[in-house]
Amino acid sequence: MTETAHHLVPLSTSLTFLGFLVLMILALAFEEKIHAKKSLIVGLFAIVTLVLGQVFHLLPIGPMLNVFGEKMEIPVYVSAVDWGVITIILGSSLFVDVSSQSGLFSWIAIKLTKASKGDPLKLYIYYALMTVLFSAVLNNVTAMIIVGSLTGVSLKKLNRSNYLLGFLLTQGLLTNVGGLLTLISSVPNIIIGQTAGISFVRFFLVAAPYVAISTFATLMVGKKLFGIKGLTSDQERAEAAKLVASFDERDGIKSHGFFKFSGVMTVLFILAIATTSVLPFVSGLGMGFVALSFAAIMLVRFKASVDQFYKAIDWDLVGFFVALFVVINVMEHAQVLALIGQGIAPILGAGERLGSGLLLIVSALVSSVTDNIPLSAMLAKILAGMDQGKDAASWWSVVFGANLGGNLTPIGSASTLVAVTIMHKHELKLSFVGFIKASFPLAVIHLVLATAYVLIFL
Amino acid sequence: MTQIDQFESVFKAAARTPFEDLKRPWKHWLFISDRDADFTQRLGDQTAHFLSIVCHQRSTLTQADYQALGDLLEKVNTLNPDLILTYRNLKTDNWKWPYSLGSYLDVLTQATTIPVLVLPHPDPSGQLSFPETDCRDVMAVTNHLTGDNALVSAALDFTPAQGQLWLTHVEEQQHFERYMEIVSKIPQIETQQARELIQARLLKEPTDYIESVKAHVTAHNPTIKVSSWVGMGHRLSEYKNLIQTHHIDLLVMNTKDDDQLAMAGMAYPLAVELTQIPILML
Repeated sequence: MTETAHHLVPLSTSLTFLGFLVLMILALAFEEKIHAKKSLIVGLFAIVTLVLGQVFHLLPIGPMLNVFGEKMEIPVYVSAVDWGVITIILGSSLFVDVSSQSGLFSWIAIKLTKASKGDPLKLYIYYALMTVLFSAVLNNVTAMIIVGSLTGVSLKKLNRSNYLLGFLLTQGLLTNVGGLLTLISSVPNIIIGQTAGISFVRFFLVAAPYVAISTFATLMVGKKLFGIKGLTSDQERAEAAKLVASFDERDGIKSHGFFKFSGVMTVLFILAIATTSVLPFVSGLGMGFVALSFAAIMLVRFKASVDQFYKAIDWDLVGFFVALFVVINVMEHAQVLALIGQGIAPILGAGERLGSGLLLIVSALVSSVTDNIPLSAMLAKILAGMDQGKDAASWWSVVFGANLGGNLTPIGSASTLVAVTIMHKHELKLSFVGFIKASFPLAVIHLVLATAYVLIFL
Repeated sequence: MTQIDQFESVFKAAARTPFEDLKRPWKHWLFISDRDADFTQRLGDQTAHFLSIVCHQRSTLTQADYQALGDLLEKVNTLNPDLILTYRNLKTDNWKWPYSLGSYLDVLTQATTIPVLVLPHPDPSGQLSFPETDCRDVMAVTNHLTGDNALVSAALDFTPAQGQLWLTHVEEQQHFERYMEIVSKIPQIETQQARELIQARLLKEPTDYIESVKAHVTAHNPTIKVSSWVGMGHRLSEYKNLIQTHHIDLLVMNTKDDDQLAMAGMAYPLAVELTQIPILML
């Protein structure tokens, strides 16, 4: 028997729920095969586990006390959701969607393309750096879409489509490296950061050195791996420069005023998110409030058509999160997380350093075949239950492992999946095994560097 | 993954098609007539006077030099000029009925890669009919202007200093309406938005291209004025209207392209119908 705060749970019950958790993770891993969206998969598991939770009398039912001490009837599937995380995701994606309408991100992308003067090696480096930067500011999928679609267009224009695979693969992997840079760069970062209480500035200061080293190593190895060479003759340089000069970075800018406003607001957004924890009056409202407020200010520009942006929100992702939090909450009540925690305990018990290293590798392996979000949500709960301090290396093991594990397989992360989709769109055939073979050296470098970083510096 | 398409569209739209001046030699001219040497000489003199471009080497083929079409083609290939100059309904007597350019000219424009300058047919008394003034206003005519550097470069070559180069793009309204009719029956596409966006994009590309031609001409031939007309309409009637309104002296059009569609498209009916305007057929 395992014990909860409220009651004892028979081991057989915990194992039954563990079975449902494993089934859900498998269903998510085979999402493409079963042609079902994440939100529906996890939503169905949320319904089943909630009902089962009721059948086994595991869930707290009855009125809850609000902040004023008043009794309120809030269903468990509402109180189970971490609305702080949901509001950050909603606010950030709305903000990015609206600000990208200004042409700001495409302007930066085309400016960099022109700065390369069409030299493939410079383009490779510039696009890689842009991927890291965009992944840090936007979400990884949007970053991959922007840089990947520009890569397809510009390499075709330069008659260098033979480099497309190398470019896209590098960018796909770097989205997950860039996604480590800030607290809001990826969902695992948000979940772990929120749970552990890591501030935006501390997160950046810890992650930035690793991101810089890992990006540099990726570029050095990637250019050799994919045979990307610079232009050698003056004639080649002149021709390439002429081809990229025909890009007009102003084409996507509908209003110069809104373009400048978006630039300023993007900088302010990052600053506000970075300083939320110390901003007077705002710190108590949290990052979700900041993100939603910035989104609302941006939406004023499109006040008559805001519904278009609401439609563009990734409701599958939002629904997935809501349902996932419900499932994780049920698992917590069914003592499944405690069981997994007992499984992880020997890993962490292997010593502070070795344990953290092992946790990183295990997290990476698991997130390489399934979604890193349930993994990080589950591990965040487990680590919080183990009273790990906010400076503990184990948090960082999960952050690095969950983000970088996605680089091992094409289904490991949404952004590598986008990279593969763009490859297929350009009729580049790359099988599951082909992806692993091509990306393996770089993915291993990322993991080795991350493990060393956690072991030595954290 | 509609966002991939969305951003790809943004970047594809940003990749402009700038004008590139494809200079070609116009030095060696071959005059072909179905009359005697005196007439052919006159044809050469009057044409040279009409055009501002300079002829460095003149060859002629008169009625005595060829008996049949195959014979003519062989001689043309042997001489290999930069430009062939002749008149419509060569070697046929059906010039009074303007329903074709004549079989000789039809074949000549298709069987060789050499541009052919087609002049109006001489009148019964043997007088050549040229515009009253020298060639000043030149118009490039095509179904798809954007990126047609060869056509625009040729038109530019034949536009004299102080002259006017007309660049036009008429998007066929009838075809557009047909597609919009189909769009209006697809519930997933918002009809009015599709109409506005597609029309704007269809007209933006030639407008941008013309702007890049203007920038080039301003930098290299500042005395030439580049005028433009981009819009929707019925191609044939719009072109006829533009040609008459602006007193165009020379038309430049394609007769060959990768899809072999040029002669099946607008070029042929225009060339047949506008009997009194010299036409450079590329």
